[in-house]
Amino acid sequence: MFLLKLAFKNLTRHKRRTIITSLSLAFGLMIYILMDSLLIGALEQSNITLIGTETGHGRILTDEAFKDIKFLPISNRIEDPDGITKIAEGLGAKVSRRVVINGEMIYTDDYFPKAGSTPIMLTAVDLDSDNNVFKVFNKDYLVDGRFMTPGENDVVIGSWLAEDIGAKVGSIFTLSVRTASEGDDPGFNQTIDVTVVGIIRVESPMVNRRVVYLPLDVADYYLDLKGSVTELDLLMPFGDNLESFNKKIEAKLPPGLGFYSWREIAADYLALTEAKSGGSSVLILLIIIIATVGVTNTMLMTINERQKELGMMRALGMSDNSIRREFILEAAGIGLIGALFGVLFGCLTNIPLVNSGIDYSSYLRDADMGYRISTYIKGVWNFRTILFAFIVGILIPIFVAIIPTKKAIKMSIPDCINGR
Amino acid sequence: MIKIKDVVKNYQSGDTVVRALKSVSLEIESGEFTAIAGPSGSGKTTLLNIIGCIDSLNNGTVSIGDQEITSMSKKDKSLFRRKNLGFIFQSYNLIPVLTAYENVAFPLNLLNIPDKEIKERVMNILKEVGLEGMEHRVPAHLSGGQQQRVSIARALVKNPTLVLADEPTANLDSHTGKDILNIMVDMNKKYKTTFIFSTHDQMVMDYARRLLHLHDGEVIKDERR
Repeated sequence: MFLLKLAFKNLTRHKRRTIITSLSLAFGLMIYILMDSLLIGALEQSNITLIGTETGHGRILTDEAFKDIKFLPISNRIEDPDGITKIAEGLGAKVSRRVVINGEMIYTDDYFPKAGSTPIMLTAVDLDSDNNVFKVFNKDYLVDGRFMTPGENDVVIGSWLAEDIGAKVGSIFTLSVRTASEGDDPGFNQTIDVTVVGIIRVESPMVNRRVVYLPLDVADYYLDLKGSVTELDLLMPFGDNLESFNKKIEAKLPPGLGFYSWREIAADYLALTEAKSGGSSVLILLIIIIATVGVTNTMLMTINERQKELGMMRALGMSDNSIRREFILEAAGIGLIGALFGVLFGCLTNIPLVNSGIDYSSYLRDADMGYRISTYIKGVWNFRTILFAFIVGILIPIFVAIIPTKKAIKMSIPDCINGR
Repeated sequence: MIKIKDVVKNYQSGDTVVRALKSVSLEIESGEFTAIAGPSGSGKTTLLNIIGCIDSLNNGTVSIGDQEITSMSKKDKSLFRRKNLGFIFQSYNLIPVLTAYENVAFPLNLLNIPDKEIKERVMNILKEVGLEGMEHRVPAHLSGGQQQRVSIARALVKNPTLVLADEPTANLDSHTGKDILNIMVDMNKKYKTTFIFSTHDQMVMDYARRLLHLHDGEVIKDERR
């Protein structure tokens, strides 16, 4: 109790210094809480968007198609989508049929400000089944126009793509894609004249920037698909988990077909975001190191300026252990103030982040960060991180006080008293 | 009784060995009021530090009462000082964030004495050194003389067997210095506490009942009055 009281009184000796040191620690902890909130928020939000616009919970593909997933070839299709859909639906899953292939968009100056071409990802969808799995064809996302009508050469494109090439509702352009191959028939380059009937803006930058949506029956006709699709996207029944669902469906799928979870499909994206999180962790570590240096400096200053006093206390018989404990209590006091303020500031600043988020649209529009977010990044409440920040905030000063305290105890008492 | 036998203390100063104490031997009886006098560098403070077990020696032995302190471990020395020794420093060395009361209570807190007893003893000693009513003042709000009184009270509050004072009046004017010395003399008489203090001030030497003259690390004169 006596040591605690002494430590507390010593903390009030240089109030401004104690507050500044604690605040530097608090600032580091606040940044840590905010960065963690944003990183986890971005990742969670991004994963939800990815599942909701591109992958579903998983996808049935031919094994060859999965191997070439980056190139989106039209070969290696699912020839019996009805049969496979029944299997998946039999397990309680919702299914969307899609044909997703790479292609090129060719536009002329009749409808566009400038003639040109741009690579796109053609996604042919059956609107009815697509809405069971994905959240793309929702009126809330429609910036202009309407959705496609089956049987018509209608396309819906992303808003960023429309802005980039100057497309408007009513603009006509040509899609250049490869038709289906079969046996010795390698297929051929097909051109389809299509009309932009709608412009959408969803959370996924990939969709906004690259995707052109076409009705599935139109794609089937022009690409000679004969009812086949390149993928069946699935939403698992509520309450099921990927591992058990995977086992169940794999047991029922015919040879040559496989169920691939969204994590497997988006492995590259996940690796990228994890690498980014790692990089951000280094940044957070740097901030904490800076705060630690501040605390170390304060403790060294404290010990240097109290050298005579320390000498007196040791002369009066205060044990090394008590001196060590007294300094550790002082450091813990700095840590406690820093941790309390850090957590307080972190939580207060996190409230608007969680509720409203930060508008990154101008930045995300130009930089492809890999995240499936195109407007607001929202934070999350991660109570484990907040608790961790609080504990670390107290432990850091305690840890950094050990070395200067050792130095103080090592000095001879006469040297301390004489301030040598 | 304090027995100092053949004490040698050398300091290393760069490549040179400085002989601070050259085989000093002496005995000081309990209750004595002794001054160690000598010019700067004569070894007074070194001798005081060695008696106070806060400095090591190169040769010889020092006993206080029936305890041979030179062979004690660092921990035992610390415990010995805590229980038996009081220190008065030239620059008072009070803890600036503690009140006069808390500064005086400091050695008692180290001994884990109950709060009630601490209060009684601290208030008594503060009264005896003339600081009644000033117990809540921090050192910054006390004069140099008052601070040294607090320092004396802190040294005496645990009823030590020996009080060591290193130039206790050096930072005070002569009038205040006399007051401080009178308090020390009174305490010595009242509690029979042994006082050893270093000085090079003639006025302080006049108060001592025994005067040891040190020169170049040797006792050159031992005067009893």
